Amino acid sequence: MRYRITHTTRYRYTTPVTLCHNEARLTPADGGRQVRRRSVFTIEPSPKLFDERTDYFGNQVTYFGVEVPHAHLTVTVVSEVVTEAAPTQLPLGADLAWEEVRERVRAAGDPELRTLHQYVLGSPLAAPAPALRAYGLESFTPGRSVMEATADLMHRIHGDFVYDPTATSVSTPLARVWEERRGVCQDFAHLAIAVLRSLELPAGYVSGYLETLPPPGQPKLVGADASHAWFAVYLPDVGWMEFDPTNDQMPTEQYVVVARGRDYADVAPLKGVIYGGGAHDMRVSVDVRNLE
Amino acid sequence: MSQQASAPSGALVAASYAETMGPFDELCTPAGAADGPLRAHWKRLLGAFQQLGGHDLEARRQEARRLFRENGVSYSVTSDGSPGERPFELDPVPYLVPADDWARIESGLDQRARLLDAILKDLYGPRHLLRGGMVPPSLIFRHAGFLLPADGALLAEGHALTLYAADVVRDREGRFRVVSDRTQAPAGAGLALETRIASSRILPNLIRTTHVHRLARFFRLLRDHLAARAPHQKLDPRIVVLAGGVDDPSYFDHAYLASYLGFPLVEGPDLTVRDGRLWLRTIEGLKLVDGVVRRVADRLCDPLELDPASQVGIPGLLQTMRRGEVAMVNPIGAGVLENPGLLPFLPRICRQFLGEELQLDSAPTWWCGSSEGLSHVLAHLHELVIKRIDRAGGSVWGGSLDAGALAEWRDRLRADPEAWVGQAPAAEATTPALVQGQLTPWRAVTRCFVSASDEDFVVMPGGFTRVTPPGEIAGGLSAGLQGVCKDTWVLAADTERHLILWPTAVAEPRQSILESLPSRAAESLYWVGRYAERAEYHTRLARTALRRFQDSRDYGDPSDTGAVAILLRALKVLATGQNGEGAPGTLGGVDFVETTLLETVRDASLEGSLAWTFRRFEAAALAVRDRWSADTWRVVDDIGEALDGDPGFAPSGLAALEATLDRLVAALMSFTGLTMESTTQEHGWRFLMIGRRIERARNLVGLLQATVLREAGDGVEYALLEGLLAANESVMTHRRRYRAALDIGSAVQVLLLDPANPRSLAYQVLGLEQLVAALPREPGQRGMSADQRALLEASTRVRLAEARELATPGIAKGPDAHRRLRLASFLEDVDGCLERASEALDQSYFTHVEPTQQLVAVSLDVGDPVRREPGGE
Repeated sequence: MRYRITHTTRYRYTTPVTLCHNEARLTPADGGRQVRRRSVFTIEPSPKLFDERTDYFGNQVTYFGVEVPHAHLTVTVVSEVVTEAAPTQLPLGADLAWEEVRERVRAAGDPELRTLHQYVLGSPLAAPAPALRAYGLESFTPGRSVMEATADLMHRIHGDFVYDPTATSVSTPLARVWEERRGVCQDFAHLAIAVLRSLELPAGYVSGYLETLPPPGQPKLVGADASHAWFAVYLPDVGWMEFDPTNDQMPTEQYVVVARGRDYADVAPLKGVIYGGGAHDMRVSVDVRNLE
Repeated sequence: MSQQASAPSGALVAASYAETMGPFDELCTPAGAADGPLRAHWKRLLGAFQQLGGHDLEARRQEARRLFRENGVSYSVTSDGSPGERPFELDPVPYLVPADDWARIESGLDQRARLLDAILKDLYGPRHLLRGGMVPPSLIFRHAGFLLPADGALLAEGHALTLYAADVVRDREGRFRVVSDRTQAPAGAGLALETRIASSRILPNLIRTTHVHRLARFFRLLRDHLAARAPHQKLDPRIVVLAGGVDDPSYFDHAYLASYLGFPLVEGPDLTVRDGRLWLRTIEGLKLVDGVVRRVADRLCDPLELDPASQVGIPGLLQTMRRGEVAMVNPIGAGVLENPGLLPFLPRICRQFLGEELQLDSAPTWWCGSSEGLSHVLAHLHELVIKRIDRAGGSVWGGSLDAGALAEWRDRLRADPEAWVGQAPAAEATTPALVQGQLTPWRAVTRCFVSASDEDFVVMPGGFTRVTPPGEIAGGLSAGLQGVCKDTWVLAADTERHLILWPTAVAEPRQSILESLPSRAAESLYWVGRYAERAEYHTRLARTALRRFQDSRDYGDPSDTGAVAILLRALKVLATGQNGEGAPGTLGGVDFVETTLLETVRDASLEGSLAWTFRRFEAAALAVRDRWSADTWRVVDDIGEALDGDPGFAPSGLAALEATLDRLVAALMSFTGLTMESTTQEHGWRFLMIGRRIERARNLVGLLQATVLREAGDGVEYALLEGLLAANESVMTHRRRYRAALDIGSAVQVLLLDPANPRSLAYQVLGLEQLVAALPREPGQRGMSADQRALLEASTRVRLAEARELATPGIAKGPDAHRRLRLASFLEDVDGCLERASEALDQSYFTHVEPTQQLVAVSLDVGDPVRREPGGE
């Protein structure tokens, strides 16, 4: 599929901001089953410094600083991405039993497995816990293949937890999501990641977009899309396998990856520190347009 | 047998020395050694100390204590004005390191610095160590100091690690071992200098004749190296010392280092990132910064990329470092090396990275993340120090735990082994420490410092040595920088002696002080001036009231009593800031006078009291600690002593209170004198003087408003005017001008309008005009600035005023009868001008850093999930 994604973030401040420093992870990834054709930032007012780099996880990071007083800040990223469907057949090695994955990660026998260790450790938003381990063991029965068990875990999260956009915010701790059994995509991703880590399996967070389809017979509204998040589990010799617990499916060619990390904190789309500004509000609009 | 197998005789060495010394002792060889009990390098010095005797040495310890306090080593107040800790005391007997031992330490630390530098660059670069399995992944990934945002942000060329410190001890065989490494913002280099200065003051002859290595060269090389790394202003680099503020326990160390290196001491709000570069806010605008000697922990450096809650960091700082726009010492992320779990792996890494054998052993350490390490630590817990790999939460000495606590610790280690190490307490050797006049074997740990130089690393020939009694080994040595310390004397080999020039001044001439004044420093200096003047003004006023009161009791003259009531009321008005005019009141007796005076002088909790004002003065002075000479700081200390340790606090202590006030006036006057005579008259001095003049002028205005706006009866008014002249040091001026004739007109002339009286309003206003005229102005500014306009108006009013006219009451009858309306409006107008001037100065020159806040995009998943076929699951 070929998509044009327009992601606009607009801040309004009650008093002018004199200086701001920002870091954005809004450039779609290039690689795997997607190709980034182009990605262009438009920032208003225009920044004094605009700088791009690749972070520890391989994500493209954009730093910019606006040094003129401003009451609004608008960041628009327009990207064009071509995605491929995931292979219909599971790759060789995907039938590895989950205990074997755990043992190979523990043994850390090759350079790649050694650097993967941090995906087993807890991260601030997705830390292992005994209750999560118990929850996970219902899917991860002895000898079960990691793919099958993870798919089952995804399916159970989808069934056991209510999708509720009013229930959480970025700062909702996992414990509350667990207790109240409701949340949004990032909560479900964090939950699955924490369960996998409780079983000593390497798990990571993926942020991106998902093409949404309008209800039958209705036109698609521009800007009605949103950022999305899902998770991935690592298989030795195979690589990262992705799962979307919010929609109970493995990502398809309708999924566009922006960034990968240990949890949301590593891939926050836009963060910043401002001087002044008083109170602020923020509007985000995302439009994923299918160009085919 | 001529050789005795016992400790050297002499009362100085404790009789039990030989029995209590460790398996290795710095002073004595083991009992029965053929070459006698005393080590060669100690012979001459011990003789010298024995000549001095224990009593004299204890006296020198007291002298050192005084020096430390005066120089601020053990003196700190916190930003809220409460007294801080008094952490240090100097043992006058130095820690001696013979030349051959030093050569081993020096070479070993040089190698260790090269090794750690290589590890640092690897961990934030190619990560061969991790990929190749040379260190277990969890040892690095579990460490809170491994900062992912710093990945790839270190300079690829040259040294990444610039300033490194190692805590070194001697083990039971006398070999040196490193207990821990400090790489983020190593503290203690300033303390090493300060102990050297104190020890050369208390043992001047001894240190001169002993051929001790000097420290100055180390700091000169460090400074040269920092300058050479400046990315922008190569010829005249601007390098700052970034400190965490006066509440940081190491603040003295930071301030001392800054002042010694000649770099401005700054805090987070003094700096700002623009255009990807780092800038210092000064009274002349933003100035480009080339280098930062960082004393703020890694994690707190940048709220954009690191800890968002940090109040001491600078948003964007990591980006400036990543871009190579600023030389960061040490680089953000260097804390990853402060990991005792790395110690067991160092010998192997050293062979791999440097192709060398590790020269200096570490204290034996076992990382619990390996199964052998864990089982060793579990089995030997009672004889190990338990530490976290990332220094969080200090350390625990297993030997101090009972059976229950040991079992709890074993569970804790088993539950999370990767986070812990066990370390043998390697400091088993002893060294002579002066304890109650006798040399007693104690244990020592020396913090050594290493700096990158252009080619290589250099090791400071000396260090900061702490000693503890043998029983306290683990807790004492791992605790913070406090307790008893020693100067570290590295003895020169015969061949080096000619190189050591002593006693050439320890301090090097500082770099040119053409630095632009940081705005926050300007503001602090201004407030130092204001609070110092306010304290002095209130002290004089209180003293005047007290003396008048004593007169009134001695002579029983009701005029005195009336005047005292007005003066006391004025004192309260000035102190508490309430607006009011003095009406003739009655005096409520001795109790009332005492209560009022004691309260306004001693009650630090009362805002505006003298004690409160002094605390504010002290806090403002501390914020620019690097700008004061030792003499000036001693005076600050004296003022604190006068307020703290004085019997004037006793309820019946009016006489003692007078002595306190006399002492305070004297101390405050010496502070004034020092700042007048010993401070370079550049912008910093100007802000101090501006603060002083504004404060004096406004106090004078306030005092007259509170006392003479209403005519008092003749007798009372005369006594009152006498009191006002005395409180304003203007009795002599008045006498020269008017002889004994004193009335409101002559008093107004002398106190308000006489431009030659340094206590008059006219003198302050005219002085202020000159001071602000010399301040830097925005380029291209036309005409007068707001502060200049306000002061011109004030000085014009003062010049045009006529004393007799001001003194005349306006209306004879009604509610305003006997009220001096012209004087009232004159005072009000001038005060308004002064207020406007000070506001304008504040706006133009002081830091107005707006509060920062975090923007976080809360944009996830507000749309619906993909619609599914109903019942499709």
